[in-house]
Amino acid sequence: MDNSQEQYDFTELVLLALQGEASPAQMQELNRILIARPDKVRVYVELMELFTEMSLQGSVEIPSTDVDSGKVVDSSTIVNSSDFDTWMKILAEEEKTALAIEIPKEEPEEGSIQKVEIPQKTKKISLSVIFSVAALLFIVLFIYVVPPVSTSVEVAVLTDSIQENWSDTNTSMQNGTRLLDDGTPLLLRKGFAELQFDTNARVVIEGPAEFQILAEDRIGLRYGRIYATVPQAATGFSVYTQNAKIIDLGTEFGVQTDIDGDTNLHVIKGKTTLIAGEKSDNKVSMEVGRGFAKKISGISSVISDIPCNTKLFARTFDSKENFVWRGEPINLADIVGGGNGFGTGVIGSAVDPLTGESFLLENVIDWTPHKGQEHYVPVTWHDFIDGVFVPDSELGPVTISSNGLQFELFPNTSHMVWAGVTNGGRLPEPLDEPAKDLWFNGLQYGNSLRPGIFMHSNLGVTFDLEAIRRAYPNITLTEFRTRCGICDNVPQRLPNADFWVLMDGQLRFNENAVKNDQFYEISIPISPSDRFLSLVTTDGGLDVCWSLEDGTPIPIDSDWCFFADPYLIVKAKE
Amino acid sequence: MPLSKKTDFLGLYSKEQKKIFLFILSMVHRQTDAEDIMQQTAAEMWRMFDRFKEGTNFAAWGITIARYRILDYRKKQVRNSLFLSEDVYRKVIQEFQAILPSSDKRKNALRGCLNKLKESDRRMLSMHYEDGFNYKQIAEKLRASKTGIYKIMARIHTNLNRCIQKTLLIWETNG
Repeated sequence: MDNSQEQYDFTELVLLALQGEASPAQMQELNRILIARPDKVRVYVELMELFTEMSLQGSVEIPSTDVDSGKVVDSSTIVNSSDFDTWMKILAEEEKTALAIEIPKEEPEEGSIQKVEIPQKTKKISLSVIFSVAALLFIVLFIYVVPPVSTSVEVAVLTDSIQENWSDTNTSMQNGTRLLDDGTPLLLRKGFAELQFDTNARVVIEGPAEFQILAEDRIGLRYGRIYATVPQAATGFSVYTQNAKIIDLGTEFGVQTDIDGDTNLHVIKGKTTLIAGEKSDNKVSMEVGRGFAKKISGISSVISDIPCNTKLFARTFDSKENFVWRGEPINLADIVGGGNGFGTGVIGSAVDPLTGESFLLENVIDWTPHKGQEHYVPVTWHDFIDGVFVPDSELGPVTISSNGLQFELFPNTSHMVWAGVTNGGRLPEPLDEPAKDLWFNGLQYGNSLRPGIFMHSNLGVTFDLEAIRRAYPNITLTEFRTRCGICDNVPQRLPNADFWVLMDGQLRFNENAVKNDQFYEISIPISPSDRFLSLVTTDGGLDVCWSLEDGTPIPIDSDWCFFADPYLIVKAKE
Repeated sequence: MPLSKKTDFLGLYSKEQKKIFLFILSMVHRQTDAEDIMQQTAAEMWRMFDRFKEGTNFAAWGITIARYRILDYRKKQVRNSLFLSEDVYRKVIQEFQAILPSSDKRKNALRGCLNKLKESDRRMLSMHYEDGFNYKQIAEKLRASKTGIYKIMARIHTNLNRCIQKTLLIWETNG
């Protein structure tokens, strides 16, 4: 092999590597040469520089002149014309004078049926777009055109699906199926599918949706909904639609595309770059941050503001539990009502402090206050509720959980209870009048829109966060948030109560002697090891009371204690 | 970020982008992957621009950021056999540093060498670099085999690089 041929062969290997078309054997050969021949390392870098210079817009331009007239022409006009013979003759003449190079016949790739593709003018090497100052002005160094994929590799895995119905496809869509970046349209007729990309970006697709895996960091969405959760290491993950490209900048976002082409972007966390428009001369780029949403018209590509809907997209799901999570916090009032924390509970349903059983307020006939139990009362009908108890330190430390945690700072109370731990609803007062709605700080509460837990003193309820975690393994509890105070429409007497919140027996919130029109915000971070969350109310002492007909004092008079919007704030598990 | 800051970034980036991209390309060798890493790097440079100390080497700063992106990329591709060995990468970095000082001269030499190319060679380059056709598309347009196009391109690139080397040698000799 003469020196020139050796050089050509080496350059060919480098070009194959550049184009991503080198086989493992060719890469091994390139590697071998570079290890054995230090001079070739220099040539390798020089060839890379050559490529960079000619690719880079504003750098070296390749002069192009007409063969006959010498005038400047666009080479594409030549290749687009039908005069291939002329072109081939020129090439043939050139090759005659070049070193002998055998041009073998093109053979189909082994074991594959090649798809017939009409050659498309994809782009003027994307570097020119990436590096253009115009693009930088928009802080966007990305291209809208989907780069061509020369070889298909597995880049993602179908991790879970629920209620799914896939259209006929060559790919078996089972959990664990590896997916190629070959751009094959995939149609999820209904249900939900979760894909985990090798970059650790995760997307949840809600059917009906048609999408394509384009690369390890790109997914195309023709229509449907996609929610993307992108860790920092996978920043740059992009969703392509018919008229827009959304580039992650370390975030969570949802994209909805209608079959007509309208694209809606809702950014839930972090920020994204949105590029809209189909042609380079009218592309618009902007940053869209948390809490903002944009609509890109399918007709005009005009971008407009829309309200950010944080509950629109399925963010995660668990096929075992048949649970789909759209970003909602977990509603503790709903759990008290027998629900799953996401709205399946019964309004007006309560936990009986004497038995731990569930009952409906509307079925109660005897509204007389009762002496509470002196022991912890486990709740067995709902995993999320550990139990209920009466806070009263007169008999010593109070047990506040099924595993025996105790708290000793409660005051001595009357040990009297009224009603139960209640998921909103309506309460009778006075006893001979129709039941009344619950009002809190000027708003009607205790319904599905404004949930709340009604807990007349003296009462405590403990939730088992670990049981909630077990039920929803895909989400992480981060915070307990609520507001507490006395209901507005408390009967015309003088309430006086104390509010307590404990985490694993440790005091996290306490406000004593709360009266009418006093409201308090509560925000308690939840760590992964926290398990028992207790909400407690105690009477404010014996100074405000009334008596039963037999003279028994009722120190819990009118303590209509209320925890408004009692939510566990959650996030998708990373 | 204030407008002047943006302008500063754009100015520096425009000037130094080629060096950063060349480094990335030399390290990952696959064009599309290099473009992706460049995108990530540029975005990160922009985000971190407040930390860039004025008067220091912008390209070196960008390359440092790029190196982390490349490391991430290589970790993700660890099972991929289409990679060069660690030894080779170390040598590539050395050569990259060695040719940087003569980068402008090489660019000027390239301009002259392109003019010396035969017309058909220039058109072939133009189809790829100016019009954005990949080798397969060029082969289809010219009704030739892709392998053949690779060989033609290999010859053109080799000759161009030789021409640049010779030109630099002549310039050096002539002072």
